[in-house]
Amino acid sequence: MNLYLIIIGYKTGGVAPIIEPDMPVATLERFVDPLPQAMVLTSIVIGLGVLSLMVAMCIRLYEKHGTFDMSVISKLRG
Amino acid sequence: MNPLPLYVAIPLGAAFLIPLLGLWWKKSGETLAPLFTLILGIMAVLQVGRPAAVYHMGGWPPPWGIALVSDGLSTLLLIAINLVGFLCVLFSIKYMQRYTGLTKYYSLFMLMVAGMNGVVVSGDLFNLYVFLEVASIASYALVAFGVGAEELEAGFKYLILGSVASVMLLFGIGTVYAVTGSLNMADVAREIATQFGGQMNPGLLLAGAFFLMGFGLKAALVPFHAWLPDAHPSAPAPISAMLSGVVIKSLGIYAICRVFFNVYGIAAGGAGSVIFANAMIAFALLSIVIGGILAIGQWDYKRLLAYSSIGQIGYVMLGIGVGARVLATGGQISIAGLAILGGLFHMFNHVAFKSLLFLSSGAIQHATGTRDMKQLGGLREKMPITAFTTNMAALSIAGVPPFSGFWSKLVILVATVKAGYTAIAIVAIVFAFVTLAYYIKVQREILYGTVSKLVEKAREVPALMYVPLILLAIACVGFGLLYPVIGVHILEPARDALMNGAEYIQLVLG
Repeated sequence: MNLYLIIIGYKTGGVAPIIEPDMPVATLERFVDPLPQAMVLTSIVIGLGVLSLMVAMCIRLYEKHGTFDMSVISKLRG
Repeated sequence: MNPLPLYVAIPLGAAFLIPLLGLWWKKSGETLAPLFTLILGIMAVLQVGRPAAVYHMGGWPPPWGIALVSDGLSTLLLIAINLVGFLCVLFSIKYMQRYTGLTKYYSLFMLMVAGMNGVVVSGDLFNLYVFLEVASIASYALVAFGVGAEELEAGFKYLILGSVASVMLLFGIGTVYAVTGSLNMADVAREIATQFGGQMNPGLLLAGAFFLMGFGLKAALVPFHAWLPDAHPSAPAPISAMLSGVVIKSLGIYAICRVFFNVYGIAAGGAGSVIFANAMIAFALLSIVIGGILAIGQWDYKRLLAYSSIGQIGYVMLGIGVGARVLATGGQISIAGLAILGGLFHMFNHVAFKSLLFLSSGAIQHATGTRDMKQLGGLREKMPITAFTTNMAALSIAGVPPFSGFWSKLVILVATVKAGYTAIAIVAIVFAFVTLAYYIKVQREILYGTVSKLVEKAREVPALMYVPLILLAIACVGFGLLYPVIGVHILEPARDALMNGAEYIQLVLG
């Protein structure tokens, strides 16, 4: 997923999009798009949040059932 | 001053303040959460009739900066979210007393409100996604709040399916960005309208499918509904009321409307529009049929309500989908307007009666300790207020005149017939009677009949719990009778916001 976003913003031979004073226009044109990179950062942080919540729930589920086997845990019918 | 950022800032601030003050002040959540949600609710109601507004975050004008936009549709959702949020918090004060970690509960609750408010005022696709995640993560935790085996499993299931939806949405947003080079919704809409001239680009078609799947999962439309019948019954009753009352609407229906009407410009027609409109109608019909059939066989009261939510969301989607199809195929605009109005009206009504039903299920569980319909009965004698309000909501959702549910279903069905989809309308009418059937079951098994052993000892719930029920019951009747007022001031601006895609672009980009 994150790779997909990075690919969207990538150019062949691109460089990091950091603007410095008196930079040649040729370098500016080779910048990769920074916006997808910002999106990926956000998505990683969100992913971390979801993962930690998931692990916390797994621990509580293990305490209840003593197993991670979904066929034992599963009671709800959907 | 423009109040738009406050809709996110107030609940977000409250979410951090409550656990912090909770270290010294045990009642921080019970005091601050109702106060702040009430303030937000009043702010949202005062926004009715004001012209649409745009706020530029950090002073950056769009399309570079993130814009917050409030138009008719946002106002409709803001009123629903914050007022129902207030009533649910009020109900929580007594209901949640048997749980521990209450400051965390109110903190998560306010986070969920912040996320939903953010979704409905956001004018930027990625910002919408972030707020959607805020609301979703808070709701995953709230579903599992009871930390029993069942609650954890339901929460885990909801988390996994919710994450799948998030990945879909992120793929969609990435694809839209790749095709149009912008994330601002108005800017994307302008790009789609000008660059492709209404013709659907394959990338946009793919992104649209991702959006329909992702938001459809949040809205629990039928092929993506599997999490809802587990998550809603397992959550504490005020959270079920929030989930069913506003979460599935603000994260699901609202987002679908906003993306397809204002960004994709479905109203302007074009090659892809008809496909999306057909998909919406198909999902809507599946939801109506499957939600209705599965609800009849349920004996767990909250589970029945959860399946009924799926069915009713189907009606909302049907109105919107028929409106979209009529517009996309170049039919009469008045018919499309009627269909969309019906869909939005049903959504607004569903907020009132489904929240009421879930809160009443909480009151019943609080008083009797069960939600198994076989063990209940004769509640009318022991808990007259709860029984009376439940009755009002059941009649309203089943579509008995003159309650609000009747009028909104009538509008949807009339519009569907007028648009020429008679077969679809017949299915919808048949399942309106199925709705009536399972709510008669609710009345017979819970409210009337012989007083069962568990009900014998039941007492009416405390005032803090039945006052929200009474207020929502008044809303159920009021929305039907006061339609001229509500329709003109709240629903019609929302409908116009959806139908005039060009106005939205003009509003944000100026």
